[in-house]
Amino acid sequence: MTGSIKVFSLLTLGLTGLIGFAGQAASENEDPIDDYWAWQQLSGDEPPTVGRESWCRNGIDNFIMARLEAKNLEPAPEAGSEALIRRASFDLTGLPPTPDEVMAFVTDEQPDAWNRLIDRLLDSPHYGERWGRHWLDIVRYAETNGFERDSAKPEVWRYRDWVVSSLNDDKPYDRFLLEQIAGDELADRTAETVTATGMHRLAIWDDEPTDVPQALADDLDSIVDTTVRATLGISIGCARCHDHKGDPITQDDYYRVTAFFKGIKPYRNPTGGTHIATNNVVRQMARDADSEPHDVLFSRFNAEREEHAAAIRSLEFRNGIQSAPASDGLVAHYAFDETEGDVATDSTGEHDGRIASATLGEDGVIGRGIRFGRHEDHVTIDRSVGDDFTVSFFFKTDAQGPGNDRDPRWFMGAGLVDGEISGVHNDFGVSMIGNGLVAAGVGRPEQFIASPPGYNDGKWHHAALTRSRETGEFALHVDGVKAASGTGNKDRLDAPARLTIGRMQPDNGAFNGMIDEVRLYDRVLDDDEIRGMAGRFSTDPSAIMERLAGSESQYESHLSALREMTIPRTEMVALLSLQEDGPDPPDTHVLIRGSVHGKADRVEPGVPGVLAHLAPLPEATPTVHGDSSGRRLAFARWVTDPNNAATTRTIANRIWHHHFGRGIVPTTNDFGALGLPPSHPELLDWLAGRFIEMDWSLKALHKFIMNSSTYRMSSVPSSDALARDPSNLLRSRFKLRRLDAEEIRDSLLVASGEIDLEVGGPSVRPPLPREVLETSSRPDQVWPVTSPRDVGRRSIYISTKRSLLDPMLTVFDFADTDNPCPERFSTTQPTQALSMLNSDFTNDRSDAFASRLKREFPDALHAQVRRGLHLVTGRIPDTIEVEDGVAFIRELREVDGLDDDTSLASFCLVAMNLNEFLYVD
Amino acid sequence: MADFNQSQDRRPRDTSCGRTRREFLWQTGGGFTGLALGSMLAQDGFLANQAVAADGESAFNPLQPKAPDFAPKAKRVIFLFMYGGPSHVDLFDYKPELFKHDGKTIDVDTKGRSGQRNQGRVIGPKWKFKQYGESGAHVSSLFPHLSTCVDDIAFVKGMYAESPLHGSAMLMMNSGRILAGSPAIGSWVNYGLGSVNENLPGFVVMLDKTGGPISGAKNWSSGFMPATYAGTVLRGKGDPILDLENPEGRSRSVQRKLLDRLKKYNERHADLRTGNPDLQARIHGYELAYRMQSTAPEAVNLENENPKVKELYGIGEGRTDDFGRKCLLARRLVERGVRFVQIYSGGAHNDANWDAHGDLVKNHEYHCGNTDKPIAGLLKDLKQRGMLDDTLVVWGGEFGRQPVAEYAEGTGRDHNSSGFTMWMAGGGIKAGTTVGGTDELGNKAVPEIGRYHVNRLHATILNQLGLDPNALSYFHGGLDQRLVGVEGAKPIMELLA
Repeated sequence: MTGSIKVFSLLTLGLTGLIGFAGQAASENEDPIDDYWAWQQLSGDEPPTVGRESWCRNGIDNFIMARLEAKNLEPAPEAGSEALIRRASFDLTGLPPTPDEVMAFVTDEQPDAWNRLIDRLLDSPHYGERWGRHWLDIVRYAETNGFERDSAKPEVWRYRDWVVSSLNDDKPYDRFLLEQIAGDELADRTAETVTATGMHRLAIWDDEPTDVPQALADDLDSIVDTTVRATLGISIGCARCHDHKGDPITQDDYYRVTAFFKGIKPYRNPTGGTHIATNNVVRQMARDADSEPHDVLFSRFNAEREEHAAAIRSLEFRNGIQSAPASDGLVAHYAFDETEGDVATDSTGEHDGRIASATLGEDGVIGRGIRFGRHEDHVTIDRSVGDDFTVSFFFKTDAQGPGNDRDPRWFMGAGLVDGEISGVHNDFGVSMIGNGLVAAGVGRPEQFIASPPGYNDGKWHHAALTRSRETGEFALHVDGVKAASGTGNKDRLDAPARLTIGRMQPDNGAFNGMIDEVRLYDRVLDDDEIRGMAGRFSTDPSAIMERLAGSESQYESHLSALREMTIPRTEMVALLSLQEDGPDPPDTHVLIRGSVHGKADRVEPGVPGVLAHLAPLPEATPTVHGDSSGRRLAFARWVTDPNNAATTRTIANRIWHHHFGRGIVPTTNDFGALGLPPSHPELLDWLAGRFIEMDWSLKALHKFIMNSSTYRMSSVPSSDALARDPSNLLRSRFKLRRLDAEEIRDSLLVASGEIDLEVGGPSVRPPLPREVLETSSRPDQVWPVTSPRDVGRRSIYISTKRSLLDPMLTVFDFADTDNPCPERFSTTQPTQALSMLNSDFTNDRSDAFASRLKREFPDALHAQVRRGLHLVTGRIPDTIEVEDGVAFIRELREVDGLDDDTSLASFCLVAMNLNEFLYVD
Repeated sequence: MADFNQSQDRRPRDTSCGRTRREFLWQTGGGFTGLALGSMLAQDGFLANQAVAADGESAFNPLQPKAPDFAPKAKRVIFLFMYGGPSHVDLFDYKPELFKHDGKTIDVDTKGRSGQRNQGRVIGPKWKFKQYGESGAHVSSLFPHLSTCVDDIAFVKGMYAESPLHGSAMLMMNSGRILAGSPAIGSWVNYGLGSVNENLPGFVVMLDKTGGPISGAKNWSSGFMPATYAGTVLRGKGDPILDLENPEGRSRSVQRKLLDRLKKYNERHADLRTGNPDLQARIHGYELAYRMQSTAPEAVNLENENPKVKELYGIGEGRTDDFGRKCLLARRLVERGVRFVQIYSGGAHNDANWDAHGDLVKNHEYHCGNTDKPIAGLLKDLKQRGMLDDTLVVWGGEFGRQPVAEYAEGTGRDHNSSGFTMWMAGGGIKAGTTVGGTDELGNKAVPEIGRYHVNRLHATILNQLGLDPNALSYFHGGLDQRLVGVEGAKPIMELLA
């Protein structure tokens, strides 16, 4: 039998020889690999001279016209003003122009009207949303991991916002790529550059793989393959298993490129489980790009504080002053100097505690201290204090606490000294949360306070919590500096009779570290007393001053410096991002048949052989931050070298593709021999060269392209063009296009007046039909609605859940979320008609549309119909169209007995289904 | 039969009309339009000689009926998906050793949800096995109705898959890969053969009343292919297809008026834009949708079915009514040209599907009881109508279950992807046969007896539909992607009549 490859036989005439068969063409060359166009430097051809110079606005037109003239074809005439503004508005912002904008443009007689229009659209914040979405398709953006649990990717929307704002800011494209590939390795990295590396955390991720090593390799493959396709426009993933005959990308190439990425921490927690290893993929950074990192500020602050405290201790010592903590009101003191046994001795003799389990005998801050580490480790003591108290103690840990930094509920943390009762009670406690925050809380209603992060630095720190029943105030001091305070109730406390040290009271939240010198007072100590206790100097400065001979001013200056200190509190932001395990990544081996179980030769990082000659690969050196190899940065510098023609061709072609509906190379992710050849190779190279001259400015490239006559052609072909350029390969006309999924949904909301144009922020989940929810295995939990009002947000902000996508978007060919999607499909299916006519979504919109028309033109049916058609088409309808609409409404009223509102809404639904609404000329 | 040696050659080839799949890619990327054109337009004499021929970019119907590679044995497929993993050793794969060693702890290598183990407590099946029919196939007492059909069935007892975990295993059974992003088998079939009734979707999925399987729509996604090929969820009750019914209060005549008004506006618009068949395609899309609005409800309306037929499926009986309706719906759909119907038994999580970790007795008596009569009814009904000859029925889950207990107590079994049973009937399959087998405990498929990867099952299904599994390819991500994997796979030849 045939055994033939299954392809569609088109109904159409043959394509011309312009789209040939590159494989055949290549095989005729002596050295097909070396000669292949896509591996070469830019050709450097200048725009050709043409007969119809007058038609050419810029060099693009010369390239196009030369080919048209060779075929003796006329370009389509220029499109009308209404078509042009609609085309440009959708193209650059994904939104229709308002009737006023159309009117202003159509009547603008100035020669620079078109330029001003483009500038206005490029300046719109919606430009970044529109073109950002194109990029999100390429990097397979989605907000969940797929597979059984399809769990959420933390903070993923920040990457989406990074893309949108980078484009709005016209971030140079080389920088745009550099930040995504290696934003964490840049010497001047900021939250912004690190957010960009979220690109590599977007892939599907099986939380429960059957073969963990292979799954890790698959995750890495997705990162490498997507990066190379997105930046260089070639598919190297094909070479993962073996070399392909005729394909110059070798298996060694694949693994050499992989080696650049080998050091990155995986999504997976190495200890197993189905949860993301959050610490591998999320990092905290200062939100403000200009501020110093928190850890730098924090260690400087601690050094200064300790310097002053040491100076004071030294002055006191030299003057023979022996300081001691306040004794007034002390009801219990546990020094933890025991080396054995289960009694935690109270030095006041009243309230010995019980050591349930712990490690004793290690050096403490004074004498010995007590270490907690195992879950069962903890000490219980009497709650010997009443409604006014101070709890004071030293602690030391280098462990991450439970909970997260943005949630200061102390009972989510690791217990230091705790008196929690589950549920809402008038209890209290001190714990450590997340990234070394000391957290505390008191009572009912529950009030929570927390210090800035960083107190898990492996050094001793002091903490004190005070509470006053009279004022309701409570305060947390860390190292004698007030970290946070709040005002709670003025009720009696009903904390339990026993407090727990080293764990939360209800048997959870184990602390991993040391504690020493726990003191309980039945009064609120003042700030000086706490400061002295923390700094191990006198708690009564006024009394000390008298005893200092000649060094009062020194003493005072150190003390006042301490009094004025505040803990640096940098606003932090959690970022989904790449991190490496350190400067030395593991070796990379070629894997036989792509299997981790078949290791072959070790390879060093390197770029694909056929492209290596384009630009030098910089040497990779470990980054200044000391946390990664710098390999990705070297790769990124090679990718963004101005001489790397693969990069510039790829982006020039992508931009062309989105402006014209088809790339000069139609397979925009695949410039290799298996992709389709370029229709105008010289034009592509020339554009790529111009793009470098534009300093990688995408906005400049848009403007340049849109200023060509080629862009401004009508989409209506002449019969001559239909006959001799049937597929429009010669670009004899503009390509009529259907709006894409997001444009359709957004435009419906614009017409109905419901659009909410807020830019950015966490994604939203407006209500979905029950039928759609029922396709999930957890229909009632799968889609927690954020707010019904969120239906008005632009489509780019609808949560992209891999297993449950918005049906309105998917029916209109939303991007496949699991693979890079460089070109959207544009299908026509009856299910689209069903959605547009019958769905709750469109009917809600047509109802709102009708209400809007009634509001704007009460009791004026003709005006309502005229306005309705105007809003969906962008042009003023003619009389016949209006009369037809009015007649339709009247018939529904009079013949079918529909009420006025329903009749008008039915008309609105028709208007929203018009081809003129769904297509752009 | 396909020439498998020839099809191992994966070099791109031209077709007779001089096109390669790369042009197809270009079409899809550049924007082809769907359904409305093709035969429909040709029938209407619509643009037949003008725009369709003139603009190669648009005049392209992805669901146009396409000739198979060779004469097909089956024209359609009904895939009964027992989601969760039915226990083959309690149903079809009779293992006397299990009865003998019931309760004993033995050395055995297993891999399931609880990881890899090398010891386990054997659970003897709690049901009696008997041999049935001329073929003498073993069936346990859980399937009193189905056991009467064994002479129409071919059992594949040596199945294995690559993952013993639901998420990836579901994807493998549905799309041939353990990673998400590839088209489902129903999408491949519609891609390969097109549609013979554009008033109905070509790939229909019916879900369990408790909800979808895990990963939801990923299981019937068209992956990297256009959404045209994605499965359509069809419900037996209420609005059968999302947005098929008019909104409340809109009569069919008003809908017609609405469409007429729309058509007039759209035709006026298109008249000014000759040479853009997309616009005509969309106008036709609305007419198709309107037709689908009457066709689909007729297809799912069981009222006029003979009561005896309904009784055959267990419709009207409490336990079997739901699945019976779906089976009867499946017959009605394939009768009307739907290529691929998938029915899920079991949904959601835990014991709402066949995932019997705890109390297998309770679980399997429930799910078998719900499906036994309907499935037997489907086979009998297809047979009595002469439809079984060219309708391929496939039964199975994403994997089977282990011969040993998961927990210290109870009858529950963990997942087992290294050996399990599926069966097929009709569609040119050798009836009354068994191929492949597992070891004496039913734990692992044994190559010497016959051990078959899921890709082989998929290859068999495609082969019966007249499609060469190693030639049916779609260019994506720089590779000719295939349902059966880029390495290719042979049909299970022993299964073919």
